[in-house]
Amino acid sequence: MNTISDNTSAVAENNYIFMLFISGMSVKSINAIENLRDICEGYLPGKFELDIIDISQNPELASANHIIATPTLIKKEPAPQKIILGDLSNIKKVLNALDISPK
Amino acid sequence: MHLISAQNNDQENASKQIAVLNKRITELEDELLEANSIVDAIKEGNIDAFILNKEGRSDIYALENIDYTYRVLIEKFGEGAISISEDGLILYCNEYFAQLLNIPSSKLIGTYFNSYVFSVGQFQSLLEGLKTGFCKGEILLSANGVKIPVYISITSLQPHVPAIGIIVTDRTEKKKHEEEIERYQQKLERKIRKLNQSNSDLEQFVHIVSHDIKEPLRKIVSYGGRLKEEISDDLNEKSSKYLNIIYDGALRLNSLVDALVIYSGSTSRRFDVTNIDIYETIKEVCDDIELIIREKKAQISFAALPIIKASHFQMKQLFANLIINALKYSKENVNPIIDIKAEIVDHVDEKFPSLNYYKISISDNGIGMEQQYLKKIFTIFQRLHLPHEYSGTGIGLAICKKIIENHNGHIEVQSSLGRGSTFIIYLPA
Repeated sequence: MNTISDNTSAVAENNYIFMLFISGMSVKSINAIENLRDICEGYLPGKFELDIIDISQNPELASANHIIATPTLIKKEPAPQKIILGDLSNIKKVLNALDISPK
Repeated sequence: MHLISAQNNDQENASKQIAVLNKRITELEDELLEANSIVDAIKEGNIDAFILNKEGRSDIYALENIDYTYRVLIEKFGEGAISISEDGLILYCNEYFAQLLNIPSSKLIGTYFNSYVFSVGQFQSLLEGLKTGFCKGEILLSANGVKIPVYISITSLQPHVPAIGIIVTDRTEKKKHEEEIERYQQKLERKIRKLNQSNSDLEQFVHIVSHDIKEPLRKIVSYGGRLKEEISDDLNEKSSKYLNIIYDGALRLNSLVDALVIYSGSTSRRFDVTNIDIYETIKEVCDDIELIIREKKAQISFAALPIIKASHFQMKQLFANLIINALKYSKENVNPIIDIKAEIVDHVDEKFPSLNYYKISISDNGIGMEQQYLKKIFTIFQRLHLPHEYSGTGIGLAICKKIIENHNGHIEVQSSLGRGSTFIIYLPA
């Protein structure tokens, strides 16, 4: 599991906490990582924590989070929890689903 | 009033209920949106794998080429990659491996890996090591009559796949280099043997010179001396002159042979090293040559000299040669003054700038030398003067240089004609 976060974000309030479940080095999973990274840095600079979980290396975590397909993004914080499937290429849709106001 | 308030209450309750329902609607809308988006994502093929929970275990079902990147990586890999079944059947091989063996992969898959292994024993023992995990080693492959040295890494793919993965690295080029280095080494060793042979031949030659030539030479000198004593009165002037030339020549030849023997002795690097007090050594030398010093009315000063690790015999030889040299090339009618000093210096050797050296200088007030001769004087048989001007064999300074080199040191000279010379010795401190 990779934890990508800025040092400042750990203490900041209203932190966004994401879990992205991927499977290996598939094209869709790679796209999902890149798209999520772009969204976080573009819209949530300095206030996000990001865990990227490869389901083949971490099957327990996948079943604990009821993951049925990959790539799956879970927004843990702030509540309510949201789930998005796919490679996150439609940024507008993703922002809408995550309740992040576009700039 | 009551009626109105009851009406108000009803209205309040209704609007509360509406709010609750509206909230529920929003929640359901959200849930529907999420569910729809999941269905959409699946419908649109926007996912690459399903995870099914079977008996508490996650099973991954890849839809798209989930292993595509790995596959490309292995295919394009600059190393051979194969997988074989437990009994050695090739199940997969990448392009590189097929090229290495120069057999198309379609012909390779389904055949036995052992049929391309030349050193089967080595491969089997590597496979044995697989029980303990991961193993690597060198084996020899063979295909179409060509032997290919390779380095292989074997990994068991159990329990996921009942097969063995092997990464094959071509070592042909490396092997060639290694062989070339070995050839060079053998060549060098042959040359060293030859050199050692010629060195021992030389030693033998010196032995012959010192014994077989010295013996008849001694006879010439001693009987020549007697002849001079006994019959020189009976000889005419011409014959007497000839006899003297013969006798002097024999004497010179004798000292030349002595010096040659010493030179070849100092060539040898085998000698005992002890702590040598240079001050004491020079004192010993001065005692030995006291006669010459007195005869020349020379003044030799030396003080505060170091103690070094060296061969006593060679150090004595060194300072004797240098002092005698200074006495020999003194000016006529000027009393020789020789001054010996020492100091510690560094940066003598560019390769070892931090090493400290003793710098010992021996200065005289002798005849000195012209600049152009300074480099020549340490070469064997280099004489600047004719034998009748100054006695000597032309080997003395060559011996000094050899001794200094034996002690990992360095010798140089500063001089100008008519102004004396300073010999400078550097010896590791």
